[in-house]
Formats: sequence, C-alpha cells, structure tokens
Amino acid sequence: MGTEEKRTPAAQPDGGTAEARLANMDLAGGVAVFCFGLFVFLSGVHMCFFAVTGAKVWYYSPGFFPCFIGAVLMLASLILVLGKRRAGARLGKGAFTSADPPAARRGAWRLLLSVGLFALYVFVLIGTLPFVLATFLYLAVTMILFRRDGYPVWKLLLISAAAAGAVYLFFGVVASVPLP
Amino acid sequence: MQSLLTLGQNILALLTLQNILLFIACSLAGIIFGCLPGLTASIGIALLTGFTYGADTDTAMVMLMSIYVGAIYGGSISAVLIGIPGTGSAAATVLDGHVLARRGEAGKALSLATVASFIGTLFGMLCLALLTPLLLKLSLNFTSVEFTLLAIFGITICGSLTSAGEPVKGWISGFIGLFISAVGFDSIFSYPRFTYGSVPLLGGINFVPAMIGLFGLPAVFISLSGGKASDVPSGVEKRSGSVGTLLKKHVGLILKSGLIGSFVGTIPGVGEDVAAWLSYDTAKRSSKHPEEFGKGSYEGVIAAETANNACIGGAMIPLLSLGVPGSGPCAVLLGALTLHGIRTGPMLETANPGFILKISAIIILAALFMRFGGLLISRIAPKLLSVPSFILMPIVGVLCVVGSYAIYVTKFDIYSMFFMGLLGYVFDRLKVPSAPAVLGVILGSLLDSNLRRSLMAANGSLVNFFTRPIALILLVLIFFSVFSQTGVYRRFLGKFRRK
Repeated sequence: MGTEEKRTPAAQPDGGTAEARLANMDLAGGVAVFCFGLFVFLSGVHMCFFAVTGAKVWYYSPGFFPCFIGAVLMLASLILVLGKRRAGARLGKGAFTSADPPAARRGAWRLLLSVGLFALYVFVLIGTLPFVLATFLYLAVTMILFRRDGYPVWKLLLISAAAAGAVYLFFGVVASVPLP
Repeated sequence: MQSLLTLGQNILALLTLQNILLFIACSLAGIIFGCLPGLTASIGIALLTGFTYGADTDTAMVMLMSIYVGAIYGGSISAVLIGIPGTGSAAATVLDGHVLARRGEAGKALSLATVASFIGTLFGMLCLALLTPLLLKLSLNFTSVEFTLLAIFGITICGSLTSAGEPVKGWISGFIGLFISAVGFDSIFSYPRFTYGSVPLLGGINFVPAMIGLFGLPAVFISLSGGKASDVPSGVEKRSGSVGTLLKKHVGLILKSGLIGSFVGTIPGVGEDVAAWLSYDTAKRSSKHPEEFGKGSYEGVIAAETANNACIGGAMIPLLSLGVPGSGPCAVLLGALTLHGIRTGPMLETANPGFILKISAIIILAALFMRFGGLLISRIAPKLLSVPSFILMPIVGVLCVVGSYAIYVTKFDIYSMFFMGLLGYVFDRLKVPSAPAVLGVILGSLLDSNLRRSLMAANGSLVNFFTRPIALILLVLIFFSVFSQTGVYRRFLGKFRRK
C-alpha cells in the first residue's frame, strides 16, 4: 500500500534496477487504470441517469454496478500512483529502460514473435485450414523458431505432427470434444 | 456413523472401471502439470473444465478433483529435483527438499513429500466433511445483503493475500475481473453494457475462456520469451530409507500442519502457498532443531507438503458452503461447478443432497491414486522435467485453444481467451495477481444483482448493511482485510509489539 512504499532508486536515468523499473511501470499502469476507472464510472453514470434501461431508480439501474467498479478502480489506482510517486517512481524518457538493453530487446522480440504466431494461429489458421493442419503448422513453426541451437528440425516436425494428431485423436475422437 | 456409512457407500459407488481409469489418468496428468514449472493446478483445472462439459457432474468432479490433488502434490517433485517449485504451493518445499536431493536423498525427500501430501489431503477432506454442513446451516440466513458483502470480502481478501506486499494491485485485479463480468446483458433488465454494437459481446465474456486466458496463456508467452533451463538429476535412488519411521516420529507435526493447512484454506482466496509457508514457519519455530531448516530438514518437507495438500479440503469449505472459493484453483473449480449446474452456497445440500460427502469420497480416492501415481511419476520425473519449454509450451497453447472452444463452440471464446492471455501477461509483468481477476469474473454477476437488490429492498438505504448481525461481521472483516494492509495498522502493530 502506498503509505508503506520503500524508496526505490527509480530516479536513475536508465530506469535503474529491476525494482525501480517495476515501480515506474506500476506508476504508468496506475495512471492507465485510473483513466480506465474514470471511463467505466462515467459510462455507469450515463446508464444510471441518461440511458433508457428500464430501471426507475438509479441504484437499481444497470449502470450502478459499473459506477461502483469505476469508483473503486479510480480510488485503488490513486493509492497506487501516490504510493509509487512517494517512492520515487517516475515517467518519461528512460524510465522503462532495462539495465541490459540487448537482452531486453531479445526478450521483447521473442515475446512479439510468440504472441504473433499464436495470434496467427487463432485468427487466421483456425477456420482457414483444417484444425489438425493448422495446429501442426503452428506447433512446427513455433518449435523451430524457438528451438535451442542444434536441436534437429526433423525431430521437431515429428513431434509437432504427433502432438497435433494426438490432440485430434484424444479430444476430437475419443472424448468427442468439438474442435475449432 | 450414518455419514461414515454414506461416505463408504459413495467410495464404493465411485469405483467403476471408467472412474478408476479417470482417477489414474487425471491424477497422473495433475502430477505432471504440477511438476512442470509454469503449469499450475489452476491452469490444469481451467484447461480440463472445458473438456468436462459433456460429462455428468460426478465424472467431471472425479476428473477435476484428481487433477487438483495431483497438481498440488506434483509441485513438490520439481521442487525437490531441480529446486524450482512446479506450483507456488511447493515453494516452501524447495528450501529443504532440494537440499536433500543434492545430498543424494532425492528419493527419500520425494517419498516424504508423497506420503505427507497424502495424509494432508485426507486431513483436509475430514475438515471439509465435518465443517461444511455447519457453515451451510449458518449461510441459510443469508440475504442479498450478506451475499453482496461476501463477494466483496472474497475479492478484497484474495487481493490482499495473493499480491506479494502490494494489496492494492490485487484489489485492482479483482475489480478488473468484476468489470469483465459486467460486459454484456445485465442480469436484471438485460441492458447491454460495454458491448458497442458487437453481437458476440452481448452474451458477455464467458468465464472459462477468461480463466484459461488469464492463467494458461501467459505461461506460454513468458516461457517462450525467455525461459531458462535448469539442471535435472539423471535419476532418483530406488531405496528411500526409513520414511515410515520418520513420519511416525513427526505425527504431531503432521497434525499441526494439517490443521494449519485446512484453516488457511477456509480463508477465501488465500490458498495452498500461504498454507505451506505458514506451516513451514510454525514448524521451524516449534522444532527442536530449527537450525536444520533450509539445510535439508525432513520436518520442513513434511510441514510444507502436509499443509499445502490439507489446504485443498479447507479451501473447498467456503466454496461449497458460501460460494466463495478458498484458493486460486478453487476459484477455477467454482467456474466448473457452475458450468455443471451446481449452485454452491446455502442451497447446495437442498438442491444436491449428499454432494459434500460425494466430494469427500472423491478427494479420498484422488489422494489414494495420487499416492501411487506419485511414486510412479517420481521415477520418470527427471526425464519429464528435461522436456524443453519450446516443445511443451506451444502444445499448452493448443490446449488453451481447444479448452476455450469446447464449451460454447464459438470462435469468439478463443478470441476472448487470447485477449485475456495478453491481459494475464501484462498482469504477470507488473506483478499483479491473476487469481482476484478470475474471482471477480466468477463473482461479478452475483455481486451485481445482489448489490442492486439489497439497495432496492431498503429503498436505496444502506441501513441493512449495518443492522444485520452477519452483515456487520462481514463488514468488519472487509474493513479489517483492507485496513490491515495500511501503514497505519502496521505502525500500530509495531508500537503494540514494542510495548
């Protein structure tokens, strides 16, 4: 809680230690949650007083719950933001820079790639191709791109095919679970 | 006596060939899930929930409870062998279990963990069978006021206890979960909220894809974006020595740890990891050899493993009697129960007579199969743990897709799982716990309708929240769960201790 924050070395220009970076990210996250809470609260107010919802009194309206959620989110994020500010967290240039930029960049690329491949599987491959083929393609490409150096590609292709087939057989055929 | 007889009958009735196969398969799956770092009991239950949709309630419960019991125990295998807890609940086991493995006693440590987990699970089950009917009687007096406060209490306490030192993050997570539950038609007037003309959003965001996304998918992204390998021992010694003698020597410790685990489980949202740490700490304080803790103490392994498995039964008590889950995996289990038409809370025994004893019987059998499955898996665990994450995690991703699609058979559920996964990833990076969000998604509609009904019943007045005795107790608990996290309270506690 804000009142008990320890002072973190967040004021260092490069974002400082991992804790300092986390504190800076918390500050940014807190601001974002506050804005989101305000949006939810205002949407709730609109439903309570201006929209035709069927409720005769505001506290029975569908907007009352969003108002409540929005208010608590704003309050909680305010506590977070004030606590982090007091602890020395800051926004701006270099606030989120890692102490090891090349490693961070590598990590970010790997993350983007893993999310991108999964998105491709979910939004494009499933529905366009039969499930087994889509799954095999996703598994094979992901395993090959993220493989440890020297791990044989043919082995990964075999594992992907076996895994896709096993998912289809076990869930689709044996357990009769509908597959996408 | 009658209850014991019914329990025995339930056990016998459950021992069909199909159930035995399911017990074996799901216990093994649970242990494997638990022992693989990055996959937790919650993920296992969340993934399996989708697949149980077509099954009857008993079969579904056999599958889910087996995976739950197995996964909580399974965490200890990787904790002992590689020093990485497979689940959060096994973190305390690492301290001594891994030291024991390094000095060549991996088999003994694993046997101790297995038997302690087995006894702990039975202890928790006993508490479940004895205490749930009492709490159910009490909860018959609940009105919309108490349900409102109970849901808020569940979220605040879960937020407080699952976020390491920053409860405000837990509360934010819980209320984001409530927001997710508010999307779609509202439960009283069917007014569309936050849908912006999108037809799929009118039905709301289903909780199964939401929980699979929040728990399962982030593990895939995190592991692929920077997973690290660890050294795995090539084998486990076959002769594990005098485990029985050791356990007999520490009967008192087992009882104490079982009690702690069950008690912690009854506190909504707290869970197995807190139980294990609290039990470990208590064992260390009361031990004749506290200096051995952290250096390969058998007591450390017994305390942590008994408590985290005893917590399972304890966590089921508030889940079944009040509809508020006692732990993260129980929050997911609540979703599964809802999916199978089991309404937990005051009317549980009226609508589903004998359900508590049936669950108790399932837990006993799940513990039994976990006990034998554990011995088997611990032999092959070194091989299992050496499966690289770039092979395992994409397969988990596929299971997330299949699990989210299986229930309502709409692609929208896969999409919502994906976006929930991204949210879960952000949560993980910011050290925001996901469990309160899942709890929020599940309790959202209960809180929404009861909050408005309670105000409507009192013409907009809050007087009922202060005049009803149980409501007042819950209000005090909510206030305390929030106030106890503030600096003012800690300073007061510090001054009090100094005096």
